[in-house]
Amino acid sequence: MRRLVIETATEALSLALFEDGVLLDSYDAVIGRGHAEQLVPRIAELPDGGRADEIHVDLGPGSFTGVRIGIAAARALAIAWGAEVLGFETSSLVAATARALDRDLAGQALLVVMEGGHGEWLATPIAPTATPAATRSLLPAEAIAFDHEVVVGSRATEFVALRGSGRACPLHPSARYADMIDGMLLGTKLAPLYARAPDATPMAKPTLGHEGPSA
Amino acid sequence: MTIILGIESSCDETAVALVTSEREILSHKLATQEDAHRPYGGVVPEIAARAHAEKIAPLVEAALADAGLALAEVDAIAATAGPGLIGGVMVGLVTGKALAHGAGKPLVAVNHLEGHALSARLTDPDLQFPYLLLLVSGGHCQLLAVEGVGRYRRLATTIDDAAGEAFDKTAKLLGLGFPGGPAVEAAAREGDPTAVPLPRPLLGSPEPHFSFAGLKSAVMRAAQSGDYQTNDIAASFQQAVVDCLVDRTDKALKGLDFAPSALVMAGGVAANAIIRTALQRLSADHGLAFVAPPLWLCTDNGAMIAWAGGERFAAGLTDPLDIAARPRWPLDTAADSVRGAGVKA
Amino acid sequence: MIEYGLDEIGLLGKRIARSLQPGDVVGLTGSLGAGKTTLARAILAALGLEGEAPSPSFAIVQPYAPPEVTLPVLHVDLYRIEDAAEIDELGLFDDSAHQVLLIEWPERMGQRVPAEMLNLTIDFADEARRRLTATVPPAWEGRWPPQ
Repeated sequence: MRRLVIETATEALSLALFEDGVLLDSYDAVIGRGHAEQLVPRIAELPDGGRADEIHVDLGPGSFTGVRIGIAAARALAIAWGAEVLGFETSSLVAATARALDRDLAGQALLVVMEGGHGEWLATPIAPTATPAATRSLLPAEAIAFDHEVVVGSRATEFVALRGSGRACPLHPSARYADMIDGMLLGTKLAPLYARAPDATPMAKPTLGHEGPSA
Repeated sequence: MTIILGIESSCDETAVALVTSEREILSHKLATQEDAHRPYGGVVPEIAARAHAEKIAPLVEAALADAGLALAEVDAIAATAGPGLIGGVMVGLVTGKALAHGAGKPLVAVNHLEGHALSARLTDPDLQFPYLLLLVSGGHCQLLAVEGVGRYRRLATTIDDAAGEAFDKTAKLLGLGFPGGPAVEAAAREGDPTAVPLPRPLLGSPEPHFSFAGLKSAVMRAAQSGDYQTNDIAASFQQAVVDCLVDRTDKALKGLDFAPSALVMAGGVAANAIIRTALQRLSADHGLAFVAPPLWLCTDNGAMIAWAGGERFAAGLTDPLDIAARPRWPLDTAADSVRGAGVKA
Repeated sequence: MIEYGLDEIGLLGKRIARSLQPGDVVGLTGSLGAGKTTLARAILAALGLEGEAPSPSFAIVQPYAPPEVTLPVLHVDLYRIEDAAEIDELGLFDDSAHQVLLIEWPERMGQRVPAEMLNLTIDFADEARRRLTATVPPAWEGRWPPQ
């Protein structure tokens, strides 16, 4: 059974191909933008063109464009290959990457902090075992209200510097560690995830850290 | 015979179709706000690229199922690569790339405007190159010499707004809803086209360019004056657009440096019956055949992308998997920039 | 407040363009026909755009990137936006630190209007002249009025 993992929701473009849980090949680059141009050619360079029975794709929250591109490609490949598609959240893969790179983080609570655009950070508190809490898009000054000691992700260094305490593990998610994501965190609903509440009332009073900027 | 799968996602319609080189439309699927509920359930946001991302795959599956085909039986994948709303274009193009790679088929990146330009050849097998094309849509208003697949010469364009944009903004001003074209046309049926004095920008000017911004402002003033009925404003506005399109196309026809086989009209605004009739009459005056695709092929659809992709595929034109979506992509890349259209003097 | 003739739009565009920095958001407010797109085109031309700048009304977002302009710019028209939640889907802020946003009808963003947006309101003085009123955020102090 082959599994292709696609990560395009962040500044990274990361791919991995597994066979029965064993990593066959992977690709990692931090490209910022250009996922739409590079994604399919990089998949094509994997063994057998990346052909798989199951495709796992990052649903976000993250770059709106990147999330949509990843989902569209995964679903189209699934039609061509007769494969099944499952989705995961960005924070799940960031946490899995952090724990794979630093074994000491096993069993510890983490705060995932990623670039959110718009002058905001995407923050997700992750308990040692339980399902991650919802990701919120916060202004940096609001985000540092989280008191987690260990902070991981693309904005971990800036977060710890601003808060003035804690341990930063700056990293981008890597698809090669996707097998460490708990199966409970994989879903069949393939809609993009948005950190800002999509049903926000335009004129409503802003409350802490949800649908964007307040004056 | 070849079979082409076409994907269109450059604006607010997601569309997929299967078309053969023998002009047979094997299936066509379109998700608008009206029938998006069927494949998907739930209301589709007006402009959401997210909606494209969620709808395209089910539409591809539905189009294949309708035609009774497997993806392996398709000869090439065609997808709109621009111009248009970039988020949506990217989603459609990436879907096309992934289908092409996954099934081992060639990819054809299609200019949305080329889809409109060639759509008349899908339904009219007798239409030969070269022809004069009046392309009128929400984003474009151009006269083009269509000399062959991939060979377009722009003869005129709008120096400010597109005709469809004027329809949309007029509809919004008059509270008639979106899309503006059908709404204004329906209101105009109940109105007097001579009731409101409105300008005909550029009428009689030597070059056949178009302009609609002044008309839009005049409609706003007429609406704000409170002196006129909504239906009369709609009818007078529509008549002003008709007069401009006829005058400018007449000017172009008189100055052509080639003998066209027909006057062809395409794009969403070509679905307007009054405009169609007026251009048909102009063609007759010039002793020229008039060709306009059926209404559903004038608005955005997947069949025109599949057909244009098929014409390019037959000409040996395919594209690499790293091709980029293009938000702006003129059909005639050599056309001089027109005073006002980019840099207002 | 700045009053200008439509024939002076090129100069105004140049002055605004010279003041722009990556990350800036400029809102263009005014009724239909006030000249929002015209001013946006003048700014794009002053940033080096030689080709045409189509109205973004239909496509909603028209991106421009070097080398055709000196700064990456998203020219946006939110006229057709009915629900401010749809703004999120446009991904306008995906790369916000590195580009300039020129936004027509910014009021459609509701509370998503960025706090640091310079808002320019265009009113009719007469048929050929316009008045420009600026709402200047802290990020623009010392940069407005543009020289």
